[in-house]
Amino acid sequence: MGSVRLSLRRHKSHAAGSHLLYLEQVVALFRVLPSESPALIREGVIDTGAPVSVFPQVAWQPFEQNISWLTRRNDPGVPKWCREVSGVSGGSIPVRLGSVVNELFDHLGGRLGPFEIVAMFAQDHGRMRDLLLGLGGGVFANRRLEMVYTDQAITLSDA
Amino acid sequence: MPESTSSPPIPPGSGVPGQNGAQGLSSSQEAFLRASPNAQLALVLADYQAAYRVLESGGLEPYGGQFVAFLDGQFAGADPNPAELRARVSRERGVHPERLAVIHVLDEIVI
Repeated sequence: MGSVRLSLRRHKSHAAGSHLLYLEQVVALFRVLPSESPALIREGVIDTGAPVSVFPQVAWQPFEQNISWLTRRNDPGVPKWCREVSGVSGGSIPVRLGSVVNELFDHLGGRLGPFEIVAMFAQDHGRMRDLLLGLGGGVFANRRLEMVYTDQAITLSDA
Repeated sequence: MPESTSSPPIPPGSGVPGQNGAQGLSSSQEAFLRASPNAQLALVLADYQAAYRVLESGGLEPYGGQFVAFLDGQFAGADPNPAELRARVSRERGVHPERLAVIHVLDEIVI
């Protein structure tokens, strides 16, 4: 049973009435496998509002050899929502579906995986900023995501 | 938002290992590549933790909208492009690009 502590990263704050609002994200650290040298470690933003994980081009190009491609670019055999994303930075961005093996980890020695995820690999030429770990594709499969927001305690664990 | 940060408010660390500016594969790069995957992980993870600490303290506010790199527990540079940041800091500090912890400093909500 694996488990990792996720980080609530707070960039800025603003007092609005009696509430304190934060510019914040929940992030996870992971490494891409197979674990050849050097270890390829990336930070992903946990985004359960994203149907699938989306990797910006600048993030996946260094480990392109580790990706098992499932579709071609502009593949007519897959639905439009599986071959482009829009709204992240204006306009549409072509993506390819692929799978990659990851291992999540934290600073307390927690590990999850290795496990395979299916993700969208964007051909965005620098338009995308963050790597999103989305709802589908395997990140949350057979896992429990627990958050006690006030305590900034967020855990992802095997169910 | 500044386009580049050649004179950052937080000075990049000094007197730390790996600052030889060597061309090609430096001894620091070789040592990192020879280390076990778990040892590599521990090194980079420590720098992510350092980056999060500085972020929480507000120390990265001048770099909003950019990516920042940390090395040996210290700020090592910032750039709007994370790949260029890794390449530049790696070259300047004589370390492997994957040795760096790179995070994005948010300055707005993007939907």
